[in-house]
Amino acid sequence: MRYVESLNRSLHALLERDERVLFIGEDILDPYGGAFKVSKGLSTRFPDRVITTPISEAGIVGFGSGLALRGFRPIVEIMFGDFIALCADQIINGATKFSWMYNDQVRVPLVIRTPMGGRRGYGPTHSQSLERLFFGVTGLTVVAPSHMHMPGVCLEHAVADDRGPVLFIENKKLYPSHVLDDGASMHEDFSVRCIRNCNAKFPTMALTLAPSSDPDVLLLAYGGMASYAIDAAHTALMEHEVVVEVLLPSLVKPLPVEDFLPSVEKCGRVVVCEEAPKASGWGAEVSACLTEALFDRLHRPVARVCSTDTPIPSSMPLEENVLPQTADLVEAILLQVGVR
Amino acid sequence: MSNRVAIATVPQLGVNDDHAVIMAWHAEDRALISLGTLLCTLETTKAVYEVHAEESGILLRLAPVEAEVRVSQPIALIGPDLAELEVLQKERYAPPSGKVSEGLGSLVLSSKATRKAAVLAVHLGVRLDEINIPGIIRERDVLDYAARREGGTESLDQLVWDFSRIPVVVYGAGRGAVTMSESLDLAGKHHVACFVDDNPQHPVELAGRPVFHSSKLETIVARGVRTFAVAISIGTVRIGILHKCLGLGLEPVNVIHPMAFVSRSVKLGSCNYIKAGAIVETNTMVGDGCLIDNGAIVAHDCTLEDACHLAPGCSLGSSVIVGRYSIVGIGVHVATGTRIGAYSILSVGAGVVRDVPDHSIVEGVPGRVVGKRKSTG
Repeated sequence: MRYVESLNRSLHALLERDERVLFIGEDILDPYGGAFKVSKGLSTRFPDRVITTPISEAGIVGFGSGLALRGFRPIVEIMFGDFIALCADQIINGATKFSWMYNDQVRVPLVIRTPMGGRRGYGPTHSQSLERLFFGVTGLTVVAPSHMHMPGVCLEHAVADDRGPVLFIENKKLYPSHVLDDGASMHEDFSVRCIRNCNAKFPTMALTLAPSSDPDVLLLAYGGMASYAIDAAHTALMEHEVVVEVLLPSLVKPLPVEDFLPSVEKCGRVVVCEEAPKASGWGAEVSACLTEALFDRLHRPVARVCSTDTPIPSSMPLEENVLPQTADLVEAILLQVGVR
Repeated sequence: MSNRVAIATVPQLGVNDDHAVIMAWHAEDRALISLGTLLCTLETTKAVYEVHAEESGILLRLAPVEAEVRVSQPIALIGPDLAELEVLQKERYAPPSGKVSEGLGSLVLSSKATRKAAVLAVHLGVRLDEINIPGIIRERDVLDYAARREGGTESLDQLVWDFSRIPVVVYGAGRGAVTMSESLDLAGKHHVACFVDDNPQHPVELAGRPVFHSSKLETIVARGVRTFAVAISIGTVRIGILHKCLGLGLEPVNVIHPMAFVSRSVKLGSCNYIKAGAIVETNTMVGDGCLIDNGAIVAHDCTLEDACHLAPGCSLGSSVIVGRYSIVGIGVHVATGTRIGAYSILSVGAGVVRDVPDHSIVEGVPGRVVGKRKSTG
């Protein structure tokens, strides 16, 4: 099953099971079915609960917040994650604060779905990974499943979250990718295990090519970087005999540190990657948390592989230079074990 | 079904679009499809587009998933005869030629073995498909397999090593030799290929490596092992073997455990062994064949002459001189500036505050000479 199909199936199931669930966004009606076809078939089956909106991202999130306050379970779509900047006030000063400001008399179980990520040559304002701007927002949960998770199941859990709101990040390059089957323990030559120390609903997946060996390095990634991390782990073993364990959380904020600690304790060498610039990003949070928890067990500082600190070019060769590639991850892995 | 061949091409969807990406194929390749069947989905900037068959017939895909295709580029052929479609594909719509295949003589790269394992397998004449282990084959799996393959004890065909490191023969096959081989392997530059021993009753194998009689040493050198280390506890024997190996053209190596601290200004002779936890501070000079054991502390500006043994946990203050072939026992403390003569033994726990003459045996705190030691031993 492909990532987009997993989401589509879960959306159908969600609307079917619960009348309170609404689906709201731009251009989502059939036959078009949404810019990335995630909502295909929904408006045909549930015409009263699939609402197409004008081009107003602030309005979309505000509308969703209001509906959530009034007992609905709205799922709103922001067509491109880059546009989330337009929703910032509604998220930061609205949806995430109401339950606090009104002493828990109201809740905002709102799910905001949006695709992020580049590598398609869509240019500086359609290729970003802006979820990092929201890592500091109190009361917001950020979920970003990779193709090693079941994105539809994650979405169902996000909608069921009574507290809300949840920012649900999809990676546009992952939409056609096949996702791991439920309960699968192998992905190509990788052994896969599911870690739920922190949060049973949003697990971390751990992949390794050599399950009988302790890893030499840990590689942490989420969302669209998952396939690059997996490729880098493969190259590291096949070309350099360095054993890498790849950890892929689906919950990005709050950081599920307990999922990582057992592996970090055994290994002591960590590389984190993200499709976004380095300063104050996800890697910074991971590095700080791991250092606080396991300073004595780290052999070296946590390494971060990130985008360059520039806008993302439209030209694809230039975009390749800006965004982290598999070779950059392999280089960081080798530096971390001291082969370089 | 029409008689003609229909060509499905990439449509112009947006004014600014000149290319699209094939997200997924939905109709089976080389299968019979009917008019209107969903063929594939294309992704352009801001939109996903479905391409439907405009004819019935057999479908032949011209581009794979994830391929970036230009507007108007043909992406599928539909026609009544598959053979005819294939001819058309080859003649007019062939994709660019594939990657240059990996060439390394008889090296066969497999997805089940790392590159290093494949290279080593070629060197050792091992076929990767003979190795039966779960998961991906690594170098050590090839080495294990090659070592076990021969079976005979004195056969030098067992002599294999990690080809990315320098092979070392360790002279001596006692328990100390096992520790020494661990230090060498850990440091990463060398690889212990085998052990040799003077004792004809030597063990067959040690730490996963073969043990040969020392008479085989020249043959081992001829096979490509040019470096040696000596794992012998008796100082005089150690030096004798050092000279013998040098005479055979072997190169000595100083074995230093990665968790020993040896200051950069320390001058080391050859064939010394410094074990985990040892500390050797600035400007200390060490001769040949010394053994500095676990946790021994040697302060700055000391001199250790040939073949002395500093046992675990002993401590030397600064500017101490230890004469050749002397043994500083476990936990011995030697005060700053003291001179220990040659061939002496400082017994366990002694506290040495005055110079010690040659051939002396010293005991107690403060240390007192209690006997004389013979030259040999």
